[in-house]
Amino acid sequence: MNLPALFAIHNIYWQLPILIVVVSLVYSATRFDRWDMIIKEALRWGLRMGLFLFGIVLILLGLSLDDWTMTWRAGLTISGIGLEIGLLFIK
Amino acid sequence: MSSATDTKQPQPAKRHFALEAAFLSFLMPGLGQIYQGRIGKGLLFMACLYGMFFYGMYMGKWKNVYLPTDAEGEQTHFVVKLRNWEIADFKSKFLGNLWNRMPYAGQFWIGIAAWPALVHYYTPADQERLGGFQKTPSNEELNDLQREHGKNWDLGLVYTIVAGVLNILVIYDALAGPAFRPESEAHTPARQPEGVAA
Repeated sequence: MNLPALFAIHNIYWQLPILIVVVSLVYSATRFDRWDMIIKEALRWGLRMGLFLFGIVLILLGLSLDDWTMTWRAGLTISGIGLEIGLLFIK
Repeated sequence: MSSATDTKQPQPAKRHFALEAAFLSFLMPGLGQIYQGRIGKGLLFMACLYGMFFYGMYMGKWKNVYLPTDAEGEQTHFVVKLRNWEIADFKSKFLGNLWNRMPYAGQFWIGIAAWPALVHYYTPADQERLGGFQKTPSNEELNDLQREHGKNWDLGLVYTIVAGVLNILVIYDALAGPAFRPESEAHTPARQPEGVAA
């Protein structure tokens, strides 16, 4: 995996934060009318979505970084799985 | 004789459904909320959903919202079955074309912004309207666009579909209000039995 390319400015993955912010805001605004509740709920949902995607990234990194040691790869994969399972218990 | 609990339980306020606001939000995201006086929310919905939809169209080179007209034969024949029972058997060219272009089923809900595709759907192929905006591209053009723009093309399509589908939630918010209402509106005092002081 080419890590520098992953962080290049033209990489499409920079579009993801836009999607997360907009979806969180719109969804939360349909749940509440008060702005403080909308922002609070949007931050909650945005964090949940961001953490979920970050967990997926950890798992995929652990599975794909062939030139890293097995310890690091296993650590990344298990961390990702743990994060995904942990999200089930977070309100 | 009424029980003691009749006077204690507050009744949830009845929901009122605002069909005209829902229709306005279908036409333009957030317009129904503005009509109801919830101007900030309406502008938020309008900015977010239109921003996402048109940004998605921009990433797709303005050619990812369309409804083709080439379904024919068995593609237009639908049989609805429940287990082994045939519930319906009908032909529909429109449904056949929609089945071939399922993304439009999501994009449609953004409202007026996706109507040019319908205008072109009902326009003969030799005529061009609206400057060709949301006209179905040819297969060669589609192949070139996907080859040259790769992931941006796909992501643009996702943006337009997500914007349309999110507007379904916005329409329901205009129709029935937010999912969680403020405590002051959530309950009304229970009706007191006759002869009992409030």
